This record gives sequence, C-alpha cells and structure tokens, in this order.
Amino acid sequence: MTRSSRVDRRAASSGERAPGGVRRLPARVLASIRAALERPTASEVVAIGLTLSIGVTIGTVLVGAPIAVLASVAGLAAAGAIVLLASDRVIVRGVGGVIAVPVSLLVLAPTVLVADLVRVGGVGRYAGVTVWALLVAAFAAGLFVWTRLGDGGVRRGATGAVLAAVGVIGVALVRLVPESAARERAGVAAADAAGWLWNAVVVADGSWALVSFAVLLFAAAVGLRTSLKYLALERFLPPDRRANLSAVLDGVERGCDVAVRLAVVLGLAAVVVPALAAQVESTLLTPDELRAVVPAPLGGGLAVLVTASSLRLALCLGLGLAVGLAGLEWLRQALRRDAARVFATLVAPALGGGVVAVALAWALAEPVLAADPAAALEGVAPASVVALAGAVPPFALAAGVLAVGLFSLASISIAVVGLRVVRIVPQQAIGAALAAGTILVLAAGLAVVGRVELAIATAAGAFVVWDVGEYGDGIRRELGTGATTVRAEFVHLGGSLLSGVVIAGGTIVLYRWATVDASVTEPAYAALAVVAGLLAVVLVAWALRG
Amino acid sequence: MTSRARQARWHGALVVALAACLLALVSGVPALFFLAVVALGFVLVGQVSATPTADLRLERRLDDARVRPGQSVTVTLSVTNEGDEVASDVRVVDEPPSSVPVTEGEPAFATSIRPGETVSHEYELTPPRGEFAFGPTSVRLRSVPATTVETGRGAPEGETGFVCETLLESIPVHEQTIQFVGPTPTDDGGSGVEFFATREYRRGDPINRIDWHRFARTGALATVEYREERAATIVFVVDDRDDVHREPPGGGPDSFDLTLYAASRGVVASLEDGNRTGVTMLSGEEWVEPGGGSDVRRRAEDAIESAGSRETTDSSATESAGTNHRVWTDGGTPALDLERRLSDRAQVVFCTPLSDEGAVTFVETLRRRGRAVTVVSPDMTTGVAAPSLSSGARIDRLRRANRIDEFRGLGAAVVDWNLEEPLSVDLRRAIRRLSRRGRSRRRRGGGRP
Repeated sequence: MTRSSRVDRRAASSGERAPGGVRRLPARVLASIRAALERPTASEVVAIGLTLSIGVTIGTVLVGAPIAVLASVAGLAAAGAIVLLASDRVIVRGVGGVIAVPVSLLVLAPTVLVADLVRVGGVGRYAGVTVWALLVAAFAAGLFVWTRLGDGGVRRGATGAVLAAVGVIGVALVRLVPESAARERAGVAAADAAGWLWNAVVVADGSWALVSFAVLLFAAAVGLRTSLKYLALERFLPPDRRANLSAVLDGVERGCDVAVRLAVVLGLAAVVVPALAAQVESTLLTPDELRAVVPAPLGGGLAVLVTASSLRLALCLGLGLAVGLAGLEWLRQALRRDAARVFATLVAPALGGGVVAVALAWALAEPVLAADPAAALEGVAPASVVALAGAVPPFALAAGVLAVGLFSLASISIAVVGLRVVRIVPQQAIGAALAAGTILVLAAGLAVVGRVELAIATAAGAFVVWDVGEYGDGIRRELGTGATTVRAEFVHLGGSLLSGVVIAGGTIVLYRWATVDASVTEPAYAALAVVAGLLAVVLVAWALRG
Repeated sequence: MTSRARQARWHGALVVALAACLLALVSGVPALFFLAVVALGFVLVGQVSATPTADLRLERRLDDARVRPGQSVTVTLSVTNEGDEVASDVRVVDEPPSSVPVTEGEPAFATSIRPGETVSHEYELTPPRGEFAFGPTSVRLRSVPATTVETGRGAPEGETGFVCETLLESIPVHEQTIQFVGPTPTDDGGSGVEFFATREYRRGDPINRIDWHRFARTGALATVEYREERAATIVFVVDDRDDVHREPPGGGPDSFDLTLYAASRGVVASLEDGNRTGVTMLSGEEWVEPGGGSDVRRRAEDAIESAGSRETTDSSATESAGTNHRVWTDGGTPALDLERRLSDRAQVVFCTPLSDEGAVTFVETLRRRGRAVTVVSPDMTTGVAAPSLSSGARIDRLRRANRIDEFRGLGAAVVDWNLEEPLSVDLRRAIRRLSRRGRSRRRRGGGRP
C-alpha cells in the first residue's frame, strides 16, 4: 500500500506565524510538543496507560506503592532525558545534559530504597529486579512513539548520558586534584583496581570464569564485526584486488557470528547447567565442574580454553584494537564533516551535566558524608579503595554518586540497545515489546512469590499491551500519523481486552482446578512441561509455515 | 487482484511459552507453567481467527474535476459494506497522482463497517497544471486479532482523474459590456462618444459636430469635442527562461504555471476591454501579433498551450541532460528583440516570477527606450499550501521585494500577486491603468510616456 506526499498545512501556518529571533524557540518547542502529542494512535495511548497502570499496581504488590510510583516516574523521566540527549541540536543536547543529572538521581533512588528494604528484610531479593523492571517498563512507555526508537536514537542518548557523566567526573576531579591525601591514595587505589580487573578478566579461574569468558568472547566478536563493517577496509585497495579481501572479511564476519553464538551458549550453560545437573553444587558453572559434566576430552578442552589467560588477553587486545580503529575512523570522518559541530555536540552534554553537578554536589555533600561511603565499601572493595573513599572530599563523593546515577541511566539505554542487537526485541513496535517483556518479568516475579492468579492476570495484561501497542504502531506506519483510524482501533482494542479477560479467566480456572503443591520434579509435572513445550514447538512450526 | 496472508504477530508469545516452561523446570516453580498457558492462549486465538471476508463497494468522488492553479480538489472516498458480516478492520489507501501534493487530510484511513453501512473519508489535493489520473486503491481487511490479512487493489467507482488548466477556454468569461470605443466590434449601436469640451468652429469641422443650441442662443458657431476613446496595444510577455521558475515550498503549481495563468487571464481581460492584445514568450518562441477578436484569442490560447507543453518537455530533458540556457546568437538581448517587434505605442505586460536579475535588466532596457511596462509576478512564498519558509526562501523573498522596488524606481507598474488573493481583480485594475495610459497618450498627440 503506497502513500502520496503530504503537506501539513497546520504545521505550515504555525511555522509561518512563528516570530523571529529568540522568541522562535518557545514556539518551536510548543510545536514539537504538539506534534509529539498528536503522533500516537489511540491504541498506543491505551498501551502506554496499561503499561504504567499495570506496572504501578504490580509494583505496589511487590515493593510497595511509593517505590513503584517512584520507579515509574523515574523511568518516564529517564525517557525524556534520553530523548533530549539524542537530539542532533547542540543546545537541546546541552539541556539534556542538565536534565539528565537530577534524573539520574531519580533513577538511583528506587534502587537504593529497595536495597535498604532488602537489607532490613522488608522485601525479598526479587524486589531489585522488580524495580528495574518497573523502570524499564516506564522507560519503554515514555519512548513508545519516539520516531528514533529503533533508529539509533537510544544509542545516541546513551552516549549523551555517558558524556554527561564525563562532565560530572570532571567536576569531581577539579575538586579532588588539590587534595594531596586523595592524590596519594588514588595511585595505590588505581593500581589495586587495575589488578582486580586483570584478575577478573585475564586470569579468571574462579566461579565467574565461564561467564567472564562468554562476555569477553561476545564483546570481542561483536566489536570486531562492527568495526570491520564501519571501517570498510576494501576501499584501501584498488578495485581489482578487492575481491580477495572481501572474501577474507566475509570469512572473519562469519567467524564472529559463530563466536557470538558460542558465547551465548556458554553464558546460558554457565547459568542453566547448575540448576539441572545434580553433580553441580555452585550457582555458576566453574571450569572444574565443566570437566565433570561434559565428557572428556571435550570437557577438559573447554575448561582449558575458558581459563587460558593468553586467549583472554588476545580477546582483550582484539577488542581494544577494534574499538581504537573504529574511534580513529570516526574521528577522521568527524574532522572531514564539521569538526566544530562535532566538538560542540560532544561537549554540550558534558558541559550541561557539569554545570548542574556543581550545584547538586554542594546540596548532596552533607547527606553523602552522613551515609559514610567508606564504611559501605568495607569488605567489598580493596582496602586502598576504601581508604581513598575516606580521603575524598564530600563534594567530590557527591559528584561521584551523580556520575554513578548517570551511568545507570546510560545502562538502561544500553540494555535496550543490547536487546535490539541480539534481536530479543523486534525491529518494529520496540516500545510495546519492551513494555510487554518487563510486565512479563513482573508476572514471573508474582509467580515466584506465590501470587499465581495475579501473575496470570499480569501476563495476560502484558500480551494485551503487546497486542494493542503493536497494532497501533503498525497502523501508524501503514497509514501515516494523520490518518483517521480510531474506529478500527477501538474495535481491535475491544477484541484484545476480551481475549485477555477470557484467556486469563480460563487459565485461572485451570490453575484452581489443577492446583496442587507439588514439585516439577514429579513425573506428572515433568510430563506436563514436556507436553507444553512440544505444543509450543508445534505452534511455532505451524506459524512459520506461512 | 486479491492476496491473503497470515501475519506472524505471536511468535514472541511462543518464545515466552517455551522460556516459561524452561524457567519452571530450572527454578522448580510450577506456577510459571501457567504463564506459558496464557501465552499459548493468545497464540491460539490468533491462529484460529477466521480470514476476513467482506463485500465492499468503493467509490471516489471529486468536488470539481476541472480546477484552476492554486485551487484545491476535495476527494471523497466512500466504502459501503454490502455483505452480511461486520468488517472489523478495513484499511483503504487511495493513490493520488504522484506529482500532486496532499494538502489536507490523508489519502488513507482505517475503519470498521457494519453490514449496509457506508463510511466516507475526505482529503484535499492542490494540483499543479496538467491532467492527472488516480492510481488503483488498495483495500486491506484484517481479522479482529489482526493475524489474517486480505489485500485487494482496484479502481473504485466514480471519478478517475481531474484536470488543472490555465488555457483560455477554461477561464470563465464574465458578462461585461465594453465601456469605451475600441477596435473590437460590438453588438451595441450608437456612437458611444463621451462629451469632452466645446471650441471655436474651424473651417472644415463636420456639420454634425456644430453646437446648434449655442448658435441659436448666441449666434456664434462652436464645435463640440468628444473624448477620444481608443484602445491600447498591450503585449503580454511570459518569462519562459529556464532556471528562473520555482516550485512553491508546499507543493502545487510552480511559478511557470502561475505566470502562464496570469498571462491567460490578462489576455482575456485586455480583449474584453477592447485593447489590441498580443502574446509572446521572453525567448521569442511564440509571437501572436497584437489584435482583437476571437481569432487573436484562439491564437493566444494556442501559444500559451504550446509554451506550457514545451516547458514540460524541456524540464524533463533538463533533468537528464543538465541545464539548458538559451543563447541569442545574433548578440541581441530579449528586450532588444522584443523592441524590434513592438509598435511604437505598444505596452508590455511582463509575467515573471522575479527570481533573478535578468528580469530587472529586461524591464530596465524597455524603460530606457520609453516603453510602458507592467510587471505581473506571483509571490511564491504565499499561498494555501506554503509551509514554514527556509532561510533560503526568506532571502529569495527579500531579493524579490528589492527587485519590485527597482521596477517602481524605473517607472514600471507592478502587480505583486499574493496567491491567497484572486488575481483577476489586480490584473483587471492594471489593464485598466494601461488602457487609460494609452488614451491619455493619444490625447497628448502620441509619443511614449
């Protein structure tokens, strides 16, 4: 179905009426807000509302209403900050840096509160997952109709958040450098931290060895593949000699794909095998247990492979080389394009973040000092780092907390990017998929804590959110933002809600009919699991046949 | 042509079902199985949904199938469900001509239709000059869970195209009597000569112009003088140079369409006022000798039509072969070429977008030789479909305003055509001014202003 070009007369008239000079900025902002409000379809508005209401309701059950509301508000604010930080306009990006700093505190707040609740025994350990699920659900709801979601916008926003964090760290360093005691301890702490990192990444022979190897392999393979595509090495050769290099590079890319899959399998095995294999007692699969579980000589070979320091070092060097070359290529392109603009785009979030950090760090210095971060790090971090934390001025410590918050904000965005990269979320209706996925996590949490009926209803709600959100996104993509679609959307919404109620009701009836306090290790439940899995596989095959 | 397909909307739910089963086994929490049941329930609903079938009748209506440049066409698409079942999700995408921008509404909509119900949808097009045909309309039906899709394409009933013309025959000519004597024959009798003054009788004055009342009263012979009312000679010159015409910022007719339109309206107005009227292009490609009557009007129509079709061909050739600059091989300029063709008392109406200095040079050359010039220029930054202007367009507008000031400094009249206003009023006023100027020159005994 094709579409014709369209001229938006309302935008035209508003644009013409916009006054000149500085007064034009508010008019533009208002026009952008109006356009953003007009953009979502009725289905998408309903899906956003459902996401937030389900999130707050289930969050209230799992971690309490104040934290649930705070996490949802933090997620929405994080979405707003990321949108601003992803802007192509320098001023808007700078404003994003300014807003991102207080938002980062908002993002940290529910996690800190839940950690405190876990410490005093108010809620279970699953509460932390719940809070982050609520954050991501609200974050997805905030980005539901963002045009750049799925088009590099979130990645750019994450980069902006990291740059804002760099600005905040710069403010902390300015305060830290004049302190001679801190300077002296910083060297020792940096050496200790580097040693810890070396042990964790290169030496790595403990319980995390398999997981860290999988992460390292995944990062190196993805980094190398991305860099090769970005560098386009063929252009350095004359046309008649490019074929051979292209064949080699294709081979390397295929190798990277295999390595990525291997890394995913190893990572999953490290987590899943301990739960399934009786002879494994630890939480994560260790190299020794790998030898015991996997028949020789494959098990022994794999254990040697994942603990080989030389291989890990080579992976680190390969990753560093790929990132370095990509960085140089980016710099070359930036200098050719418009160096001043690129510089301004990079500096704007850092500057905005740094300026706000000065004020916020002064305000937070006292509370941070009262929290005594050195005592909190006792036993967790190396002694030199604890000593450094004790010597750092409260202002710099508060700025450090703000930087951690900004990295948390960036991590939410990076997690979304990662989910898209590994294709867990689809190419379209990304917001709906993220929202539905996080609500499913909440449903799983309810099931784990024994609130099965509520879990079933929540899971049905998650699928309704996906159904309605994907439908709204699809109809907007197919017919355009201004098309009249409300009537069809409400009919589909009614059908979706009815399906959800019927399926949830039927499943709850099934649960009540079949409810027994039995373990899945019992033959009947194991058989049920196998049958359900087989049914799912059959349905997958049925659906894929076209 | 109809195609049916099944959309994979619930593959994610299948993955969730598998993951929930796996998680239930790994974590030892049987309750997680029920999450898989929920997921499979949605998959089943999607899979068992029936293929949508509906008997739909589609009709397209236009409020006006022959429009003028700048005028919009309202397209109404109506869908009637002639079947017995509710069509829960009907998506209709019309295919307006690709070169015609949609200026209001969308050529697409989605709705639900009960049996026997008709749903209508309107959108608006602002076409440039030309003849346009709609493409086939796509209709897509979906089941309530939106997993089965049926797509069809075809021509709806009703209108299939429309025309946007600038030709003379398409311009409605209003009933208007000729006010002054001119060379154009009329159906009205009488002399139609307006009293002007009396003067002393001179030997040889016609006997019917002697004021006999005065002679009876005073015994002195006096001759009545009537106002000499003669038509002016007006030649319309259309700026048909390459690279001077501009697309409007919001789509619709370009500046060449509008200058042709202005010329065609001006020719009608001038002929109706009884002026000897001619038409030419700045390139000299067309030349209609100034005259009156239906013959001139027909030849002017042919010239404008020919220029319009040539411009379309040239622009397509230019797109493939680069810019085509006309060269006066004899070393002359368009103004000098035109001067050679014009009679002494002919006046020039120059229809131009005023987008370059060449127009100023042209008018300046004519004015230095004493030629009366009126410039008619469409302001491309105005109009019904103009979006916010870019910096370049704003600079262009300032330059155009400066050129208008230059024209006025040279003594040329300027009709600055705001596209939101009808051209006819300004243009007819300008033609009247030209006619009066021609008459006053004659009274003074000829010569150029």
